[in-house]
Amino acid sequence: MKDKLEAIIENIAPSVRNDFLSHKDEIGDDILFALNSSFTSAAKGNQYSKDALEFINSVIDRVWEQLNVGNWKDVPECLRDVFAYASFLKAMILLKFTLQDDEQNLRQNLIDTLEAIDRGLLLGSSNRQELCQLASALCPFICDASQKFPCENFSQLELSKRPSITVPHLKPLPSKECPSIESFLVDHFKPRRPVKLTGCIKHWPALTKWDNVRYIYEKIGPRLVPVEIGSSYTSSNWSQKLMTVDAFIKNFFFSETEERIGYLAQHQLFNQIPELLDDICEPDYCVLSENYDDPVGTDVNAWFGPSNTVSPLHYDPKHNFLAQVVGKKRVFLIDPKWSENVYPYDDFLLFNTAQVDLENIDYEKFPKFENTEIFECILEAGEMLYIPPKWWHHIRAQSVSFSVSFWWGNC
Amino acid sequence: MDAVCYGFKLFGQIGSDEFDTVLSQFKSYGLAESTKSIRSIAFGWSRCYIIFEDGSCWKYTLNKEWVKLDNLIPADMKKTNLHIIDLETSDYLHLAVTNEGHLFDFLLHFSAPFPAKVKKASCGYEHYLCLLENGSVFVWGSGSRGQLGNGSLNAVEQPELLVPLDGLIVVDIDAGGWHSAAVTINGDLYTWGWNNFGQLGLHSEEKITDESDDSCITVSSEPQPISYFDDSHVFKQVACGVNHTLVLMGE
Repeated sequence: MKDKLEAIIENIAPSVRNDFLSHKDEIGDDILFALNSSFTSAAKGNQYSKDALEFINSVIDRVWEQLNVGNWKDVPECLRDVFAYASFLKAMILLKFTLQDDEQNLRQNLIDTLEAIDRGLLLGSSNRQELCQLASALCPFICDASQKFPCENFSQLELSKRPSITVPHLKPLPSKECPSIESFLVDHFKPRRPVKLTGCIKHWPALTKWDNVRYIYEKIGPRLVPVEIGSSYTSSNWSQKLMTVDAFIKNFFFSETEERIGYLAQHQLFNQIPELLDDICEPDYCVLSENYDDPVGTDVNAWFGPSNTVSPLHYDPKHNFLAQVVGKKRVFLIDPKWSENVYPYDDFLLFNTAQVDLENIDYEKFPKFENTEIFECILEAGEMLYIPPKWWHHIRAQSVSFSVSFWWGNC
Repeated sequence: MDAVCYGFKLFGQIGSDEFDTVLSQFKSYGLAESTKSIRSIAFGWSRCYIIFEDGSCWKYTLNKEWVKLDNLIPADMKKTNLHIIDLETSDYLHLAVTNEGHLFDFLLHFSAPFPAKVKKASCGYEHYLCLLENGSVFVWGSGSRGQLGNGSLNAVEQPELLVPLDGLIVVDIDAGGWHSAAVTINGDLYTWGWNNFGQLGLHSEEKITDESDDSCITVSSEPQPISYFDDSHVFKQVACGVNHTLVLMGE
């Protein structure tokens, strides 16, 4: 085992570069000094240094606090660079510790190392390739091949037992089988009209692979991901925390005592674990744009959870494809022309969220909602929903569900 | 009078000839005005301030020098006998209190009127707390993690009365990075804000275990009363770090 680890370290060590001198003014002498002090022990030889670990932990603590001050979007890029780089150094130092520590602590030491890597990937921006490479090299050491699961496929788990909710004035959303890009442009993209698309993602390897519990466990089980806990993000008991995919599945899919809902929602899982991209494919329609002069990339997010996860009525600013990979979801859609009827929150965080709860409509409080037209769509595995910008949508999973969303179109 | 220091010092906050992480023994600062009495000391990640009894303020910098800070008091407030008695810093925000109970930000030169004299001020990384001599608490700044305690996550630009504690006589306050705490005259403790490391004294869920617990809390945007195992003890004082809180208990 240890000789395999040694090979991994040797392989990755040359990519530990020390190139932060160019950011000297933004970072500060102290952080730079600490980075330099731990660089040598991270990059050279197999010797573990306790001092180096202490230095690098100081940098990580300090920069973590700096990253948390102010709005995330205003955080200077170079701080995110330092955080990722420091996480990479820490991972290398921890690997050297693992080599000299008892064999029986090996798995736990690697779990700690992977946690440092994933924290670097979640908040940092530099050295992503190296961090990803190291993470996927360590995963097989951590996964337990003899691990038993209550079922082979997620789709074998019981469907939701909750009574389905009743909403008035429902209209079924139209469905089309794999339209041409031209007809999608004319009929849906330009007029911003939602539609369910069938037959567009049937070639994705994910459709069969991601339903398999062991595949998910071995591919991403030990990885640290953000999980939302609580019935929905507008409820008072809502919180968000980091945990491994393995713990997430155990606690929220297979546990018979857990009553809360956990949801791996709106997470750029594919930036953290790029090998999952081999299983999916960006829809061809995403070449369409409202502004070809200034191209911007597509944001790909993962949405993975048990039955009954809820995204309450809200809208997003971009064109959106919601591709259903495992299980099914019930989606309600409302045209932005009815925005006034859904009573958006008057709040800088929740301005794109409606106060009207579609699952429990309070007509006394929200009388204007009465005659609002609502489209309904049951999205099954292998189907893809087009949600135009600003269209209000409410989504409830009716089974274990894994969806991928694509935000695109540059509007 | 001299000041001594120990602890974590990588960022130059307690001075050394060489960079290092921890100073495990008390060490003298070597003050420039060692004949004077020290009134107050304020620390951040990478700096240290000392106020002497005569109101003069000195800052210890990364260059291992003491620098005297003149003209901290805004021009429109200047008058004779007015001097600074307390500084509070969190690296990002800075407050000073004068002997007449004024409060101002000594870097932004922001000041605000209060209905009574200021008794104590404290700054978090993004929010301010201020205790008046009449026992009321004022808050302003960012509320992103509930640290204002006013039930909202929105920012507040001007100091506002902390309504949930209105009517209680508060005797001590302190702000951590993103959390806050207050002690009342009856010896009760209230905490609010970010609880990601359990710093509110409430159960946190930073690490999930197999046992589920419904009482976990990540953010509290309203003051939570904190009980201690033994009711015969009361809270006297409170101090907040970024990820932890310390209390002084009394009988």
